Amino acid sequence: MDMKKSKKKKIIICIGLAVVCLVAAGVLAYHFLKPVPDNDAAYIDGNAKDWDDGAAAAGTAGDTMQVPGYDSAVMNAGDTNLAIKIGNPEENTCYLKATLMLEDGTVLFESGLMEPGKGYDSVPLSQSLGTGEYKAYVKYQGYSMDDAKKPLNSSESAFTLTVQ
Amino acid sequence: MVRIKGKVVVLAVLACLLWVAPVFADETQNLTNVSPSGSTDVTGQVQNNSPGNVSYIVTVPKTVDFGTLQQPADVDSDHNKDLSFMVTAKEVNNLTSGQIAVLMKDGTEDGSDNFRIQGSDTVNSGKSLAYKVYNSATPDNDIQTGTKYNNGYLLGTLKQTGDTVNGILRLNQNQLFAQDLTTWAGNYKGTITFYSTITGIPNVNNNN
Repeated sequence: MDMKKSKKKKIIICIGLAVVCLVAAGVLAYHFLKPVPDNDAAYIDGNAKDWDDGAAAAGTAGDTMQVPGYDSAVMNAGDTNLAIKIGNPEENTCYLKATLMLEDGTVLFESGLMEPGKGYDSVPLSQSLGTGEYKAYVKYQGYSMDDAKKPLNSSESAFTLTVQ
Repeated sequence: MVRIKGKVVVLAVLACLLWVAPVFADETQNLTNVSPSGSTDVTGQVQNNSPGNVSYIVTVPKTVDFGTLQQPADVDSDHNKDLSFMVTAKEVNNLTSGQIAVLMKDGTEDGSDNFRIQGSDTVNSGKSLAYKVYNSATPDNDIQTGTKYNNGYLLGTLKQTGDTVNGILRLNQNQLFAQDLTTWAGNYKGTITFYSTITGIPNVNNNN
């Protein structure tokens, strides 16, 4: 009887250890094998949805790129989402990567490479902000749409962010 | 005793699962870290449009491409290669007062004020060629002779849809005079960072 109990105990321990090892192996495999976005963000943003910049007239960008600009944005203190239309105008023939930042360099949101016609109507913030008025800007960095995804010119659109 | 030890094993397994779960949760946020950019000057005086909506769209050049450059035989005169460009207000929504100021700076962000293109081949690695930026309305007006703001040099202002500021990028090929082309030949690349903000007219000159 004692031998049976001892054997059962060993089996339980072995099963437990095997489960732990499998889970740990899965975690390690995920970390080392998953595609790692380059710091220059050469990955297509799958979270960006169909996006309308609200502009009345359509046209072609050609050797230029169209960049949205803002006057102001408002949010409540403690919120972790900001209602701001960030996206890549559909007339563009390049990717745009958007970074929402405060003037002190704090990054609040960063997108991946947004395809033309894709963007966000509100963005999740990396942190909430206290009440006040902040100088902020959205930096739009262009990237070519070929396999090289070469960096193009960029444009920073400044605005006032009011937290109430 | 067996039951107690069995429970310990189960609890240990659960503890490990709880430990790894937040790792997967973090991966779904899909945010990357970037190095912070420079400071921003915003002196907005205009209250218009719904907050968070796009107030305007500007069109800027995608690239800086001077094409093929040539080594001059002398430096008796300038040998400029000009590149025209435009910044246009494609759409401006309800800008009842103020205007959109457009500034420019070199895109390298290495602390140098010079606009330049840099060697991108192994042969010309480390080489750079400087160029100047002019507002076409006043061709002798090198924008870098104006005030240097935190976010660049003022190119011009836009007020309504269709407004355009025309500019010239000018590279003097005299920089290549007497240079060893075996170390200077090849491709050069450069980028520009534009900066736009809605501001009142007096603030354009005090935007620092």
